This record gives sequence, C-alpha cells and structure tokens, in this order.
Amino acid sequence: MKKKFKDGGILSWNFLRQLFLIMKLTLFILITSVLSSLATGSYSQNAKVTLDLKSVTVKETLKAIENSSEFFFVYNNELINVDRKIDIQVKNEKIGDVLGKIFDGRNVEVTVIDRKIILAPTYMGSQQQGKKITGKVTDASGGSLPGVSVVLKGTTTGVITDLNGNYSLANVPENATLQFSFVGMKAQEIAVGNKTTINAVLTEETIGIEEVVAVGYGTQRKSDLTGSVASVSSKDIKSSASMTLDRALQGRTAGVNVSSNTGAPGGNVSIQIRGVNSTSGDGANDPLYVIDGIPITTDDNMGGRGFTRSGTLNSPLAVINPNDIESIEILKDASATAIYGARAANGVVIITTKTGKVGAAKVTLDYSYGIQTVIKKLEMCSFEQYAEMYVQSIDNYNLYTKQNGVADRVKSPYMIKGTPEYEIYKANGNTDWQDAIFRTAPTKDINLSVTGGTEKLSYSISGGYTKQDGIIMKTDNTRATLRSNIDLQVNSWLKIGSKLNIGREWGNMVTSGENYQGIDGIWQALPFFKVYNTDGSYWENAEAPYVNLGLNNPANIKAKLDREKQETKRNRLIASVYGEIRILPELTFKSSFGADLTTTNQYVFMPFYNPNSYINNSSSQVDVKNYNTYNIVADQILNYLMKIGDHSFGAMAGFSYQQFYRQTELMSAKGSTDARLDQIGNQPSMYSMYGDRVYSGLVSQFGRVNYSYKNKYLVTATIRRDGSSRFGSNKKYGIFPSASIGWKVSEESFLKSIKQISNLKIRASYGKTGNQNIGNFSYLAKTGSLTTVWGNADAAAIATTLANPDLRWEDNIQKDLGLELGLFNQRIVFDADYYNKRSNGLLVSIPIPGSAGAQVSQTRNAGSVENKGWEFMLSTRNLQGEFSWNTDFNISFNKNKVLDIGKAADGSSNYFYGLGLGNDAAVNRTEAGHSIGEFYLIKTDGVYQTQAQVDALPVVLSTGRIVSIGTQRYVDQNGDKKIDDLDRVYVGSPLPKFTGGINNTFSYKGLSLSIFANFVYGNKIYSNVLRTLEKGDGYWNQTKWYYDNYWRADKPSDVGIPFKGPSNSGVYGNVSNNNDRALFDGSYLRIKNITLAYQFPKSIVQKVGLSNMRVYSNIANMFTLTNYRGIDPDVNSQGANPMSAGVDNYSYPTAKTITFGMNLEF
Amino acid sequence: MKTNYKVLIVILVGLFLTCCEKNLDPKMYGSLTVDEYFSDVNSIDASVNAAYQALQDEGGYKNAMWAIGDIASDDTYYGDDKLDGLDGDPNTGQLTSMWRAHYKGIYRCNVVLNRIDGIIFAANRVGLKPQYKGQVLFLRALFYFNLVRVFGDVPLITNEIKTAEEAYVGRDPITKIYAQIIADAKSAVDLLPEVYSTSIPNTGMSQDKGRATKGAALMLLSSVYLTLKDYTNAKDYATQILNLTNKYSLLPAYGDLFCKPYSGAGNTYPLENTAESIFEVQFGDQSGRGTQANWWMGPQSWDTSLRWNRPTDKTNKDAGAFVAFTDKSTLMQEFETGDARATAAIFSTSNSVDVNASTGLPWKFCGKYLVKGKTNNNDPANFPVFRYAETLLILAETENETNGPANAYQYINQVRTRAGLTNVASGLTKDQFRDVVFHERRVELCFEAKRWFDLVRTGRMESTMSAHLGKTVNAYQNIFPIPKLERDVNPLLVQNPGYAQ
Repeated sequence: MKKKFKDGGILSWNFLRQLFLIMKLTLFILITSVLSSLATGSYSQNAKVTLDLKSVTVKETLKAIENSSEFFFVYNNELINVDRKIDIQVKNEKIGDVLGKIFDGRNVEVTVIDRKIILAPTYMGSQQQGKKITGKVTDASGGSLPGVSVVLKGTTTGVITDLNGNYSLANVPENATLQFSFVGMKAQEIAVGNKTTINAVLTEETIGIEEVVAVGYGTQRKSDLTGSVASVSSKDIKSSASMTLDRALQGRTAGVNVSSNTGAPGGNVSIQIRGVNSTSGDGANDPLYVIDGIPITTDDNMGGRGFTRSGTLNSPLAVINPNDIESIEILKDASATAIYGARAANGVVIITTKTGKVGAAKVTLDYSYGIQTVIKKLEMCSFEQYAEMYVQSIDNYNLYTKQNGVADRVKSPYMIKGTPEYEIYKANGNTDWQDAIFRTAPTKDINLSVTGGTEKLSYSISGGYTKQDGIIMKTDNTRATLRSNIDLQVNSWLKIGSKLNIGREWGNMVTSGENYQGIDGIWQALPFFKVYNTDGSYWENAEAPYVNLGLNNPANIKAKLDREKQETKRNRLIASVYGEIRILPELTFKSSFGADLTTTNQYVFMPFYNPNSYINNSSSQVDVKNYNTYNIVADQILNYLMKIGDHSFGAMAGFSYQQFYRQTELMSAKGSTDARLDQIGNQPSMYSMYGDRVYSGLVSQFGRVNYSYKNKYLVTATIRRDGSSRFGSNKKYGIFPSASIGWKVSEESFLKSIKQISNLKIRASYGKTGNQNIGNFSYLAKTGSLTTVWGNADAAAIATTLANPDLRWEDNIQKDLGLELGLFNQRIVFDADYYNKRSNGLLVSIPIPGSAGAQVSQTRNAGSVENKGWEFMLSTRNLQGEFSWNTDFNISFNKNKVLDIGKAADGSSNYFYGLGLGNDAAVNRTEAGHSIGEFYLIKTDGVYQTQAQVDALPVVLSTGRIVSIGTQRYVDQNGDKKIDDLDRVYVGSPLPKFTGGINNTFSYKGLSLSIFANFVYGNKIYSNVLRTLEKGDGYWNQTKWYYDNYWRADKPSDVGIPFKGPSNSGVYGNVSNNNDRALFDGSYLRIKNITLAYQFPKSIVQKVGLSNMRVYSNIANMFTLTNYRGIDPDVNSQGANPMSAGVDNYSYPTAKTITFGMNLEF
Repeated sequence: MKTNYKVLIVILVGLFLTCCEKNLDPKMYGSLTVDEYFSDVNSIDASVNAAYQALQDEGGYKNAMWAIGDIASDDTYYGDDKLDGLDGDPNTGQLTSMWRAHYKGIYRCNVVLNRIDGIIFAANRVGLKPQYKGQVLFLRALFYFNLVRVFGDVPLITNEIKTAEEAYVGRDPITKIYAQIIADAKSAVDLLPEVYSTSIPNTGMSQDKGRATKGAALMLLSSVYLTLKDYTNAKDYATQILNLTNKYSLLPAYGDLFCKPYSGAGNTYPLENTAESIFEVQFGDQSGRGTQANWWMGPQSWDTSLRWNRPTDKTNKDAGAFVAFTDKSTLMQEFETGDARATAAIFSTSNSVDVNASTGLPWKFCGKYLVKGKTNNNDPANFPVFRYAETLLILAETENETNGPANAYQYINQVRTRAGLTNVASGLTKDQFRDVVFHERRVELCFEAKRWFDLVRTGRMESTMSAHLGKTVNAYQNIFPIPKLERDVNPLLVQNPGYAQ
C-alpha cells in the first residue's frame, strides 16, 4: 500500500489538491463567520422587507423574503404549516412585524439570530408555559426501566428516564403525544390530554421481523434478507450455561450440527453447517468465524503436532467469553456467505460482542456457581466376575487350541476360586476406578460489565473470570477476559470506535483415546487392585502379590494421572479500531483495522515411572510447545443507501487485506530419572525438535447490491474476488458470486387483507463459495532431501514436487430455496429451507505420468461431495399475557454423498480409510457413492450355537483360526470361507439423518422456566470403548454387561464367549477388530438445559439499590434417551477429521452440571 | 464534499485493483522451492547424488533391473508367471517400478543439466562443472539405454519437467532414443575424468567411489553399439578402455568380486569398487539402503550351518523363493567342470534337510549378493553394471564379428584363465567362436542383469525361452509391455504390439 502511494503520482496529486481545497474552504468559512458575528445585532434591526404577494404559500413567501434579503429560515415543515396560502402586502417593514403578520395566531415562535430566523411551534419555546408531565416507565413485571427515551412526538425534545424509571418533562402542550422507546421493547405512544402523570409499561418486542442482523460487512433488516441467516441471541447463549460459546450453539438452530470431540473443560467441538463439505481434515470443514469483523484463524489451529499425548485440544473459541456476546449470526446459504468468498464454503459464524447503549451507566454483575458430575458411569465387573471369566477364557483357549495341537495355557492360581492366592486378591476388595478418578467438580463464573453512553460516546466494558474444574482429577480450565468496546460520534460525519477483547486461558488436561496411556485406564484397570496402601501411598503392583496377567495398562491409573502434567496456556487478543465517515447522507466510508493474536504454550511432563506394568517410563520426558499466530486485517468499505419512491437501493463495496503468520516451536527431551526434575532443562537428552513459520495472505475485493421495490420484491447480489497466497500461480484469484431474490408475498394487496398472515416471504439463492483450506505452498515445486548411498556420505537433494500452478480452492455451489411465514401477528413463525450444495475440486491425490519424474501422483482439485437437505424452524407464542408459553423448534435433515474422490492409479475408484484406533485399523472409509467416513466393517451374525452351525459355515479367520461353538459368527460376504478385509461392507454412516432442538419457555410474572432438548437421529457410533471392554479376550476389566450376556452353553446368547489369547490380539474366534458388534445406533434425545429463573420485582429490588435482580438455576445434560450403551452418544472423538467421524474412542466424558447464578444490575 | 467522494473512489479503485499483490506471494520457510534451491555448487552436488539414487531404487538395480535381466531369462526359475513366465502382464510390478525409477533418474539429470550453467562455480571448483555434467549425461544415457531395451519406443524427455502437464508425452522411436543415448554418452566420455582425484582442491564432491568415469562412459557406448550390432564402434570404444591411463584389471580370484559365504564365520563383506569395477551401483548396510538381490535371487539370509533360512513353506512363492536352478534352469549345466565361478556364483544348500523334494537335490541359488546377517533391507552388496571382464568379452565378440576369431582369443582366455579354466581351443570358426563368447558371457556375467539382453540382442530369445518355459515365446516378447498404470494415466502411450491393449 505504501508503495502504491509513492508510485501513484496522479492519485497523490489529486489527493493533495483536494486537501488544499478543503483547507481553503475552511479558511473561508472561518473568515465569514468572524465577519458576520461582528455584524450581529445590526442587520436584523435595520433590515426592512417589502412584499406584495397574493395566494401564495407561506413557503413561497419565506422564499421571497430570503431572495430579497440576507435572511434565511430554519424550520421543520412537519411542525410549521408552510403550505397554507396567504395574501401579504408589506412595505419596508421590520422582519419581526412581517413574520408576525404571516403567523398571526398560529402559535409560531419566531427567533431571529442575526440573519438566521428560526420558526418553531410555540410549545417548544422556553417562554411558553406548557404543563409539566411526570411519570414512571416499567416493564411488564413492574420493574422500572432506566434509560428509556421519552420524546414529544414530532420534536427532538425529550428526556431519558432515570435509574428508577422516572422522568419529568416540562412545557408539554395538551395536544402533544409522548413517545416511549427502548431497545428491545415495543415503542409506545400516549396522548397527553389533560394528564399530568403518565406512566408507561413497555413490553418486549415480539420476535421481530424488524430485527436487524449482522451480515458480512454490514447489517440488514431480517425482513429484507434474501439469504438464509440464523440468529442465536445472547439470551439463548446465556441460558445454555455453557462455559464456551461453541457448545452453546448445539441444537439451537437448524442446519448447524455441533458434536462434541471431548467433554474436557475448554475442549473442542466439531461444528458443521449444512453437512460435511470436504474430505480434508484439520479444520477444512470448520465454518469461518468472524469476531467483531475479524475473520479469525481456526484452520491452522493449535493442532497437536509433535504432541503424542495431547488428547484434548482446546477450542479456538474457548477463549471468548460467552457473556460478552451480543449476537451470533450463522450464514448458511451462498447468498449470505459468498461475501466471504474463498473461506465461506462451510458457512460463516458472525460473532458480535456487546457495544454500549445510550443511557446512564448500567453495571451488571453475573455470578454463577455450578457443580459437575460425570454424565454416566459404566458398570464394570467385580473381582469375582472377572476371575470367573478369566478361568473360563483359559478353558476355552485350551479346549480350542488343543484341537489345533497347541499346548495348554496355564491358569493363574490367583484367578481360581478357593486358592489362597485368590483370597489375597479377594481381600483387596473391589475398587471402583471410576469413583477413584471422577470427581464432583465445581465451576465458577463471574462477570462484571459496565455499559452506557450518550448520543456521542457509548461504551461497554467488562471483565470475566471463569474456572471450570474437570470431572476427571487434575483437569481444569480457567479463563480470564477483559473487553472494552467504545464508539464515539466525533461530529456529524465522523464516527470512530474500538473493540478490544483480551483473553487468557490456562488449564490442565489428560490424555484420551485408546492408547494404554490415558483415561482408557479408568475402565480397563482391574477391580482387585487397590488405589492406596494403608499408609496412604499409592498401591503399586510391586507392593502386592503380583501375577503376570499380561497387563498392558498401568495398574494404578490414579497414580499415573497424578504424576503426569499436561498444561496449556493461551493468550488471545482480538482487537480492532474503525473510523466511519459519512460522506453524503446516503454514503458512508468505513475503514477498520483489526488483529487477532495468539500465543499458546503447552507443556507435557511424563515422569519417570515404574509401577511394574506396561507403562514403565524408564526416564522422564518433557515436551514443550510454543505456538504463536498473528492475523491482521484491514477493511475499507463504502456503503450506499438510497430510497427513491418505491425503490430502495443499497450498495456496498469493500476491499480487504489480511495476513496470517504462524510460528511453532516444539522441543522434547528426556532422560531424567527423578520425577521432581520436571523442566526441559533437567532432561539430559534431546528427543526431538521441530519448528516452522508460515506466512499466508489474502487480498480481496467484494461488493453487494440490494434492491427492493415497494418493499415487496427483493434482490441481492454479491461478489467477492479473493486472492490467496495458497492458490497456484494460474489461479491466484477466485471469484465467488451469488444472487438471490425474495418476494414478500404478505405485502401484496391480495394477502394484506388476510390479517392472520403477518408475514410471508419466499426466497431463492444461488452462489459459489470456496474453501481455501488447502495448505500453504502446496502449489510450489519444492525440494526435499533423500539418501544416496555413497560410501559414508549420502546427502542428496532434489525437487520432490512439481509445480501445480492450477491448484486452487475447493469450491462449493449452493442452491437454496426458503419460505418464511408468520401468522397471527407473528405468534407463529415458521421458516423452511431446502438446499443443495455441491463441493467440487476437493483435494485428491491423482496419479500423473511416471515420466514426470519428480512424483507419480499429485494433489489436485478433483473430488466432489454433495450435501442436500431440509431445515425447518417453528416458533410459537402459545400463551401470551401474564402466563406465557413460547416454543422454539428446529429440525434439519442432511444427506451427504461423495460423488467423486478420484481414481486410483489402476483406474479403479479411490477410497480412503479414516484414522486407525489405538493399535487397530480404521473403521471409517470414504468412497464415491457413500457418505464421507461411512463405517466399513465385517458384519456379525450372532454366535455359533451348535456344532452343526460350525460345520455349515466353517470359516477361517484372518489369523488362520477356525471358529467353534460359542464364537462370534461373521458374515462371509464373498463366500471364500475366510473372514478377512474382503468381507468388510458398509454398515452405516456416522452422519445423522436429522438433528434438531426444542425449547419451551414458560413464564409467570417474574418466574420463568425454560426446558431445552436437542436430538440427533439416524447416525451410527463405533464404540472403541465397548469393543475393548467387551471383547472378552483382553487382560483388562470388562463391562458387567458383557459378563451378563456372553454365550454360555447354559445361557445361549448372541455375544461371543471370552477367549484368553496369548495377547490382546482378538484372534481366537471372539470379537476381532473392525466388526459391527461395536457399532451402535447413535440416536439420542437429551434434556440439555433446564433453567428456572426468578426476576425479582423492581419494587423490591429498588429498595436495595439495584435496578434489576435475577436468580436462576440451570441443569445441563440432565437426562438422555438413547440406545447407546456407552457413556455418551454425543461423542466424536476424532471429529477434527471428517473421514473418521462417529467414533467413541475414550473421549473425556461429558458432565452433568447444576448451576446456580444471579444477575444484578445497578 | 462531492469531489472528496470522487477522490475516495479513485483511491479505493486503485487499492482494489493493484494493492498488496505481495501479500499473495509470501516467503516459504522450512523448505526451498526448486528455483531457490539451485544457488551454488552444493545444490548441484546434491542433485547429482540424487540422480545416482534412482539406480539404487527398486525400479533400478535394487530390484527391477536384475528381475528383468536375470529372472525373466533362462538363468533362474521362480514359478511366477509374470516376469519369469513371460506372461506379458502389463501390471507386472517390476515393469512399473522400472519405468518410474528410470524417469525419476532422467528427471533429476535433466534438472541438473538445465540448471548447472546458471550456477557460478568458484575458480577453484570450476573444474567440477564438466565432471557433474558428464556424470548426469552418462546416467541419462544409461537410463534410456535400459528403457529402450526393455520397452522399445519410450518418451524422450530431455528438458526439465516443471508441471505435470509437460509429462503427458507419447513414445519416440528407438532410433531417436539411441541417437540421444550415443550423443549423451559421447559427451560424457569427453567430460568425465578417468578417476576422481584430489587435483581439484576442496572439491565439495561428496564421494568419489562409484561415480561414473570416462571408462564407464566408454563401456556404455560400447554396450550400446554392441546392442545395435555396430561391432566396429563397439570394438573401438572397448579398445579405448584398454588405452586409458588408468588401467583396469581382472581381480586374481573371481570370488573376490562377490560375497564369500563359504569363507567361514567372519563377515564376508564383498570387495567393492575394485580395479575390475568400471561402474557399479552402490548399496549400503543401513535400513532401506540395501539391495534386494540376495533376498529374491539368493537364499535370503544364512545362519552358521548355512541352512536356507527361508520361511517354512519352501514352495510358497509368496515367501519370495526364486529357486531351482537344479531342475528348471540350464545355468548349472552351463558351468564347465572346474569352473571356479560356479562355486562363487551359486549358493547351494549343504544340508540334507534343505533339498528339493521332487529331485532330492540341494536347492541352489544365486550366491553373489549374500552378506551374512543382512536382509533385503540392508544387504550392502553393490551391483555390478560394467566390469572389466565384460570389456574383454566385448572385445572378443567384436573382434570376432569384425575380423574373425584370430585375434579374439587373447581377450576371452584372460577371463577363462582367471576362472581356472583352460584356453579356448584354437581354430574355431567365426560362428563357433561366437557361441563360445556367448557361453562365456552367460557364466561370467550371470546374475548381473545381462542374460536377458544378450538373448535378445543375439536373436536367441525366442528359441531359448520357448525351450526354457516349455511354451511358445514370440518375437514381440523381445520387449515388454508398457505398464498399465502408466497407460491409464497417460493415454498417449500406445501398447507394444502383441500385448493386451
């Protein structure tokens, strides 16, 4: 930019000339006003007026005076009747006398200030004695409303109610009308008449079609929208009592599917707007988040590179305080999102923080305290049950292997009932490891905010502190935030402001996932092992009779968790300043500069640890990771609004520059044998190091045009041109257009007469957006190093990738058809949308000719995915009045299908597996014709109940073993009598058929009860938890369900019998990996939030010096209706990767939370 | 105010269209683009190294070259239908990997040739420039020589491919390929040193052993002309090798050239890059740097009792058993009694357990690349491409073809003497002598990726292979099918006649 000014001679010349002109003009005004002030007092007294006019309007008369003198008139033609015809004949009369004649008896006050003559109704004049009106403004509950503006209709005269809602207005004529208005309340008018006390009761505005919502780079009246935009209000966010705002979105609005990756404090969620659009992971399916105008980075999020144990990554939004949110708008269709171009393919979430309101300073204090408990425990086996199963499994093993001529496996005497060894373990009692690890954890949340302002300056300042302990020991997350939003109207044409959000977040976590190192041990740990010795130290195997059961998990998970440390600390600053110039009444120019800065530090300590078990770190290890990002953005926006007759026209054009930077350093060292020496400097040997830095940038131009005719026919068109550093040189710029139309049918005369229909709008949109989450510098020809065998020297380097100048964004073409219907004065509001999205050019590895040399396949834009679906929202005011009942319901259906994911090198269609689970293979597979990440498993078909069944289907397992009675029966899809990968088939999708939520709010006077439920239907969950805890041949504990249900000759069932193999390889005819026994229906209905609140009557509150007081209690996740036997059906352990969705892999469990809180205002 | 607004528009439009392009082209950290990379002599050195690496690839001499040169020939029997059985399957793995590795090497050579003239060499290193050029020209010629002998017409790419689109090219006639090979090899002869010496101070050249020399380039040219039946030129270039200042010589014992599995408990690391070696592909003993030659042609590994350490199922070809010289190959019979090369080249199980059930005879394998304790991943045995014994055999052959046998005996007898054999009987006819040389090549150069190409160039492939396989083998099979994977990607590649389209 700097350079441009230097080069652009013409521009700067023009600019200077203009500056000079402005300076000249200023000087001129200054001189004339000084001169005229010197002359004050003489002209008006001396000047004489001569007029001779017949049947002219007052207006024309005044014009004539202006023309023949130096006087000019200032008046409001709504207050002064200037269309009245008069005759007038004066000769050299003083102006005062002339005006006296014109307005004789008309109650017009004439004020002459030098040459300026002000005409006003007499009731506005200070000399005129109208009467004094006093009164009080309250809300429906009787609470006083401070800050309400009370204005004489048709004038600017008015006052604002004081803290107690009282006002007093002098000089009010009897024929006047008072207007009471307050944001969020319905405006009210009351005629003065002969009253001297006028009290007003303001009611809350019904959900408004006049609501204004944030759209990209501006706002729009909701009624004028032609795109699909959903709003979530701060009230909804608050009532969810969520510690982070992403969780608060769950179930609140149609088309937004929120699934939990982890229940850890501050942990991540996956948010998908209208389905999964990309097969790429690492945020390629995340919506774009725009916080106070700054598109923040989540695609390069704090990914756990180098951290083998970081099970719970924190959400990028966790550092935003939900209390600071004014509104969240979710832009869904292309008409709404295309203004964000190459980043909008997954939808856009616009988050606006609170700004100041005109009125006296309002201080709000929110405080809440909650207690959390684990949502569900799994019932595990006792020692007796475990031992019984163990013995049986050895018997099975020996019986079975003898048929194959292999020697006996010896039972451990510790597991045989009646032996002295058995009694030793029995005497240990049964340890409930879940009780040992889980805890009742408190949450504390305190927020203090001050908002207020005048017409010139408004402010909103707040501070918040939230501490959430985790339900698993040693986990917690704390957030402290500061926010200051200030807007200043400098003068009639300039407004400036700043928004500042500073957050710091820090916490401790534990490792999740099946890896024998983390919280999987909570369930796998054996019941006959103790937590503590009698002296209070940790019970370790070494201190007790120990038998080699082949344990591959720490014997004492609590000791392990206690000794490890995983800390994350993050600072985030999101700040912006803007200036807005009103160039013309219709035209404004806004320039804003913002930044999003983060620094993240992670620290992991795995101590020297040797409890005689699988985990025996022979030395400590420390990982340290520092991760810094900055993201700066500068936007220049011109806005034009014009109305001519029936035509309304709006236009916006903008330019945006954004730069991103990311720097990562990772160090890992180990070697200390003293667990107290836990710093990286204490570790004698370097283990691994990594570091990089990445710059990327965007340069964008965009524009939007809105047109409406008679407020009935609406057209919107947007376009964005995005240049991105991620795109190949031939595709440096992408163009993303959209167009949409709306028809407010209810404004047509033929519907206007039908009073029942208060709103009916039909809209349609079409547009293109992009996903630039394709990695940085993928298009460049890069060099890499390789090994050439050259005796001892072997360095070699060469181009390893060819340039791909055509590499570009993944694009997304979306069609949307919407209907908005309001009935009975908006008591019933119904929205419906149909959409069809097609993502093209998904990044897929495509084979290229071997003669290219550098590589045999190249990542190219080739894949294609389709999402289509329906969304419905219904809001009804079932009961109104003193007792009111409102219902909000939403439901959305989405169907995802991969159309093309490229061809394999041999020309067959491609497929990709998801992430593996623990040591086992992946269970999801993505292939054309199926939804992304469908489960691809071997089907089970009960258990071989009789030898006859075995003989009829004597299949061989992949390990070469043959099945026997009581073992699981698998479907041999290809009939080759072998059960192997070739028998895997698609058995269901992790993506739900529909999701939604329903909220009911009942209120009576100050009391309100809101019950919110969300639901998910038709998805499958692959439970790696239940697979490992119900496989029957591991060494760890098994669920009680398995003990109760496995096949026995005396109790036939469809669950395979336990087999104790030489390892946990699952090979002995029992549950092997990757079959559908671990696949569950993931549907659920959850009572997600129940909030009971009481708003104290103002009369009481005011006595203690408050203006408002509310107390509430909230229960989150109280009850879940589901067929899933695992801990929580709201699980998506590997949610960051869309091709590995729907897996429960020992996620941090969800909590049930009871919160008590209060809001105070004064 | 009105004009203000105009100015603003002008400013904004200016910004809209031209601002901040630099933001779209940020510097990449952490790795270098190709353009950035080629900045100095070190980048050239590393890239020349990389060109050699293609020879060490599975599609080079780690696997594919001897899989085609020896396993496809009548020297070995494997039981597999693909190369061994000449079933003409265009999905044969070695054909695909051979194609790709060779073009990978060609690409790397082209990159160096395209960039080297733009690099400024310091005065004390300027002498390296012709050496680097010569090496990649030699390598490119060798890559194309292999390609053209295996596939016939192939795409001739001599420019640096920069985008994938440039690689979609069709096949060029072999005459054009050979012209390029000869031109490259001749340039290499001119540019390459006979030996890499320390005469250029502080060379920065990473390692000298194993680099292409003038002798290697002459040997390549001679082999090319021999294949083209231009015996005069073939002889001429082979003769130039004799006349080099740096003399090559035969090692005293044939067994010293290769691993010596019978020599006892000690590590029998082969002698490498010897006085006899003209060009050999280097392999190392670290993971991933070894050859697979022993794993697939030999007994895989050995223990102290010299048992065949194969998986239990010795007839399971999936276990990787290239076996049975005794009953399916005539190579064993080809060795004359007392030929020292038989024991050096052939590993025979010495234990009564490891016998071929159907014949009762010990299993016999290639023993040339057997290094104790090493597997297919880390077997360090180098693979000979050209050695002096072959120079002598080429001289014998070309002298016989051009002038008759009279002066050809001197060459072949050197080779036979070293093998502990008597001289070739004198007074042979030209045709008889030709057969003698052919026999000598088979035993001297067995398992050195020569046999198949000898059969083809001498026109003996059809008859020999038909007899070996017990089925009709046709002339079209002198070259192999173009890999299906390549044809799927690049439709411009037409299949060789005779093979399934």
